[in-house]
Amino acid sequence: MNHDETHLAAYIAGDLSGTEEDAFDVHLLDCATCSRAVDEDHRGHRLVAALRAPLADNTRVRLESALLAARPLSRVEFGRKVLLVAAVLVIIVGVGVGSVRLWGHQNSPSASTPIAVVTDLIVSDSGLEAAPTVQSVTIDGVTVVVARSATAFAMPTNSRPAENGSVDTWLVERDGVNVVCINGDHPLLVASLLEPQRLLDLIAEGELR
Amino acid sequence: MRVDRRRRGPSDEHRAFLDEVDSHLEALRNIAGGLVRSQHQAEDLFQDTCLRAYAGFARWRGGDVRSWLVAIMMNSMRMNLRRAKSRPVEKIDERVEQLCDGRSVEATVLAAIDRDVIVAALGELPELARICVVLTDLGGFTTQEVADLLDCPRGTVLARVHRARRTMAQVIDHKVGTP
Repeated sequence: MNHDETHLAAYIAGDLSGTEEDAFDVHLLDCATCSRAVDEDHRGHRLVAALRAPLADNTRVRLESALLAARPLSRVEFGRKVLLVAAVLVIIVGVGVGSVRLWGHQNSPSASTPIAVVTDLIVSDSGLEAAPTVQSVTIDGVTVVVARSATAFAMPTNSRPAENGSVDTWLVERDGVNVVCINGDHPLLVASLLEPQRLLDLIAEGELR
Repeated sequence: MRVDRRRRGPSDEHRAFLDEVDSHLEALRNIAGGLVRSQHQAEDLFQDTCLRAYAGFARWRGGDVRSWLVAIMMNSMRMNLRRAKSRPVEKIDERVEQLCDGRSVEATVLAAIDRDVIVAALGELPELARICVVLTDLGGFTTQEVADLLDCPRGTVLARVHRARRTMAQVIDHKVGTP
């Protein structure tokens, strides 16, 4: 009989077939290890479920007051936010195109990709209280897009903590673009085709602050 | 439910938001209570989540409102944790080894266990395990819904929930048995 955790969890979740479940029921009669695991699972479930409580009246009242005091981001305001970001991006793209014409740089064909990534992250971030400022710089001949915000950026989905010991620094890759998200005292979102470590070094050296 | 939000004033927006989320507020508050350590933090997390959802309501295009709210809550929680720069992660396996003494908790004892003791034990779980068990046992999500929300395999959720429940039982055994 299988004692492994996956089998146990499947039994408890009711995922086993009728025959498998019957066999496991019989197994439980003689196996103290699995029997204890099932017992602990049930007790653990009851413990957590015991925390369920009805919504307190004062919680609802506080929430309704807070909602009335808050101003929802209307479609017009949301549109303004998108337009602001778009306007900044037009400037950035213009600067990028100008750079290509002036210096004929080879990295420019993909230069809009970091911008698209930053735009997507900013527009989908419901927690931002104001539109961030967005800048584009060229480092090592590669475009680096930097967004700064007064409030913390939402951690990008599937991001991982950087290995620099900071709990505020997260890394993620989007369509080949490397993104660094830092939410310390000065929230920063950096996107580029440069390697993540190079971006972290640039930030540490104050080049992107 | 799709809602037509065109030509709506602020008070209409407020009412429409409450209509949309009202039936999920209790579960959302319970989930908040399981995700953080104190009632005060839970209250803040709950309210912060609702305000963020309200702020983004104009952009919400319908769908599973409960999952939408929980996704906002988890994002808020992670941002708060990053800001606090605290809370070391405990190794679940070490704890299980220390606490595997086989004692049981009688139903009468279970009923008498202080709510704060259970919340504290939840707070000692690794983050992913805590989120999985809170969403299933407190929030009423199915394991498949949790898997979809966390973008991980259902088997991973099943294993995390099972481990979290066992650890909870063992930790409470230990705490109740060691005054």
